[in-house]
Amino acid sequence: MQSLSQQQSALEQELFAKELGGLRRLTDRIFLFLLLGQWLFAVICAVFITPRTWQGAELSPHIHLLAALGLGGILVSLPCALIVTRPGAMLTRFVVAASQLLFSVLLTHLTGGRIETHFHIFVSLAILAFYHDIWVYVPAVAVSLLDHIVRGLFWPESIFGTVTPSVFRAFEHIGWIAFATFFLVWGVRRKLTNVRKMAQFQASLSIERDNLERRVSERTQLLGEARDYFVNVLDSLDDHIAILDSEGVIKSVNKAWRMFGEANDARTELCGPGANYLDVCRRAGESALAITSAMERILAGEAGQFTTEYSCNSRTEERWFQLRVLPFVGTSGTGLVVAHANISERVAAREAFMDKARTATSLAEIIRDAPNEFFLCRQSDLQIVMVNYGLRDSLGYSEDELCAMTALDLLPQAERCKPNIYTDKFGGKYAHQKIHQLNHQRSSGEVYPVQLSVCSGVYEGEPIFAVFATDVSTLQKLQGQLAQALKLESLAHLAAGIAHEINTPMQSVASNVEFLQSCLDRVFRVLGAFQSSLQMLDEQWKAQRESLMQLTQEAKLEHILLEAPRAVTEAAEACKRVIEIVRAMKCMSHPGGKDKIKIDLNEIIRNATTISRNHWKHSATLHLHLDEDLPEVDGHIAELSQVILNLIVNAADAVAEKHGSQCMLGQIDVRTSATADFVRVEVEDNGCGMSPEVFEKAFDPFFTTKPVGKGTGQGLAITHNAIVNMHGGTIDILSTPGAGTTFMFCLPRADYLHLETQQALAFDPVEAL
Amino acid sequence: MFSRKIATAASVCRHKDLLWVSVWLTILSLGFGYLIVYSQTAAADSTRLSTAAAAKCYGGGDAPATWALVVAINPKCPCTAATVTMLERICAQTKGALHCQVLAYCPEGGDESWTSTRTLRRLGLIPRVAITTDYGGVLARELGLTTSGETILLDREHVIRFHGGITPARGHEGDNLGATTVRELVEEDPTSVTTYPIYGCPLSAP
Repeated sequence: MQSLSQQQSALEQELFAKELGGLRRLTDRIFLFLLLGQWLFAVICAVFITPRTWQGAELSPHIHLLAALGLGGILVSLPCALIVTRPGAMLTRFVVAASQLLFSVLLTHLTGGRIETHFHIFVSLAILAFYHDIWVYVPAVAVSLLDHIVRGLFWPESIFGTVTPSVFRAFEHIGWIAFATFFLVWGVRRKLTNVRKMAQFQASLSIERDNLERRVSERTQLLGEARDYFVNVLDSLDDHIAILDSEGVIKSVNKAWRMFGEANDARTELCGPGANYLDVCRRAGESALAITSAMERILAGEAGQFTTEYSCNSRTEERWFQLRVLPFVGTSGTGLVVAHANISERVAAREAFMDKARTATSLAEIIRDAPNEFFLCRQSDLQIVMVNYGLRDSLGYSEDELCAMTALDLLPQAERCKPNIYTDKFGGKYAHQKIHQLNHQRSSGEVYPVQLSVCSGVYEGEPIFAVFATDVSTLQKLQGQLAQALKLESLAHLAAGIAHEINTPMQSVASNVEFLQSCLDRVFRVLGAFQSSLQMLDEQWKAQRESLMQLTQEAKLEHILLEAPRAVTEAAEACKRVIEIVRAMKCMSHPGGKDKIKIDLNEIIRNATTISRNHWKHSATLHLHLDEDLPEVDGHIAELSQVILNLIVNAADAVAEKHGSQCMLGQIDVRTSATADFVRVEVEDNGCGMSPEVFEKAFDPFFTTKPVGKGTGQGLAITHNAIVNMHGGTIDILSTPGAGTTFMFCLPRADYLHLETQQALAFDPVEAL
Repeated sequence: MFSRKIATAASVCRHKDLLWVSVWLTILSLGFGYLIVYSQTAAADSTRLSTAAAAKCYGGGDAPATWALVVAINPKCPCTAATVTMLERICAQTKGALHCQVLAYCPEGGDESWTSTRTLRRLGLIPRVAITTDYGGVLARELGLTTSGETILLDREHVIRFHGGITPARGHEGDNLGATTVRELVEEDPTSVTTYPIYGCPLSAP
């Protein structure tokens, strides 16, 4: 892009060339007529001055006449042709200049060398100045010089009047031409300078004019765009807008106004441009009195604006409109902007909103008055912002006290520092659980279990947790009773087997005791004989000896001595077995305490296998792969015993289902192991496995694949609840249909929990948020 | 500036243009050359000048009191206008010291158109110029004058001091040695020139 100066320079050159070209073409046209005129003049001169030549009384055409016609014609031919074909060309100017000076020669000749005709030379030089080209004097002066030189050399008397002209005369002639030419050249240069200055001035003016025109054009375009913009904006609005002048005459309306008028068959003279809207309102009378008054007051500057809503029902629908009247300050004075907006939807929405608001108010009152505990706390700092009467009454705090507390303050002191539903484990992130069981502590210090249902929401523009808390102390008590009942039911199912397990050793004990009793009778008889023999004399001892030996033989004392210890040992082992079963029974049926205790899972597993032995021994072999260094876990022994017993019984049932009909024994493996954090228990069987459908519903309450009367569907549900909810562990299933099932559960190590607690004590959950 | 103009001219003047211009200039040169040659072609010098005949022009032997210039002209010849002009100048410059006798040719039986020409009317206005109608060019022939514009200058003793033309070219007025010599002789200025070429038409048909 050219700079302004470059543009001006280019335009200046263009204007200069144009002006110069115009002048030169004009001069060409002048010379066209001048040359033709001179030719005619030469002919006239010849006709009048030297038409004929005489030799005595004989006459003949004068050579001047021929020269005027012929030579003059040739003289004007080329310049005229060039003027016509190439006006403004340099060659044209040069030829014209030469021709013009040659015409001086011709006319001088034709006029008989009149001194006055010599002025033609200077006049020609002056007219050549019209060309504004100093270079045209080159051919002009050249012609003159050549004429002088040639004639001075060959016909000196024709020009100097003598055959021996002086050099001074030659220089005198040339000097006058040079003198005239010098000043003409000077004048032409001055003229060129002026033309250039004019071109500069014109260029400057032109650029200024162009700039001005461009600015005007741009401004006009901008104004047009602005007008179109505002017209489009006004047309794009749904409001029906009209601009009124100070008399209330409608000056312009938008598209919505026009369309509304057309749709409602409104007459243009009443509401179209040119109509006096104020008069229309006045004629409307009472119904538009407020509007008319407002418009008059706004026009008078007594009011700023006016807004009102009115109903204007069509034949088919109920409609509401909002009318706004605003002052319009334009260049032609103050006017009005009248805007009708269809607010039917808004009114309907407002009504609907009011209905919803009333509903929401009712719901809020219900929630507030509900006996269930409910509160809102901010997500940012868990600050309680709203509580209901249920929470207030349950906790024993006032509303103000509760609103000064955080959600964590509702927990017992020991649990506040532990990860909970509000915080991720030491991470400060919000938990994903929506339902969680915690304990709340009343103002009296009483701790009671609650089930929290938490959802996120926004309250007064701030992210909050909406917390529904349910007192589950009664429920937990009932659940405990139910679990105990279910456990006892399980034991009841195993009672026959357990009885058989006890009966077998007891029969052994009985038979052995009976054997020992008979042995004891014989031994007592032998001992009685020996005791009475101690009081006999020596002579009698001999006979007695034989009798004793016979008695000993009859009593099979040797057999007794051999078998009695065995019988005692066998009886003792049987008793031990019974004691073991009884102890296992005692352990398994223990209802457990409220608090967790340290538990050796290996012992529980052994007890479970013991009391369930009669259940699995006919269908499977059970192998225990127990880690003797298994660390203890903190837990409820009753629930964990129930879990392991359920898993072993289920494994035995699965094995029996698969192998029972084949009179083959299946296999059950129970393994324990420990990791850094958890104790892991696996119960694996090679039974029938689970189908995908069963797998999906394995932990659902009341879901069972066993025949009616054999299973309640509560076993695995209770197992899952005990492991996950009560002990914070995990449980998983690996099952292949037809190949077997492995139940794996992990429980936190007691020593890990101890460490976790220590870390939790150093954790500030609020800060972590 | 100059070099740029020359370059522009060179670009404009193509060969064809130069050819046309050259042809044009050549034709003009030839034409003007011919004109110059025509106007500069002098008449044949007369060798039979007669002083007695010249005296006859003044009334039968009366000696003129002043220098006398005898000029033979063809009054209808346009070239004579230049001779008349030069006569006007000479007469004015000599301040009455010169009498001029013009022998105006008139053919035998010539009508008034020969005796009342514009040239003769101009001559009639010049002081001390006498016009004699020379019917059939007899007087001129007696004097030995054969060309229109041919003059002879007689001093007070009727001696021919100058013979020739007083125009620089045929039909051209202007300073020339002939007219200057006449003026100088009349003014008694020393000069060695006694003749000057005569540029004019023949007084009689060949």
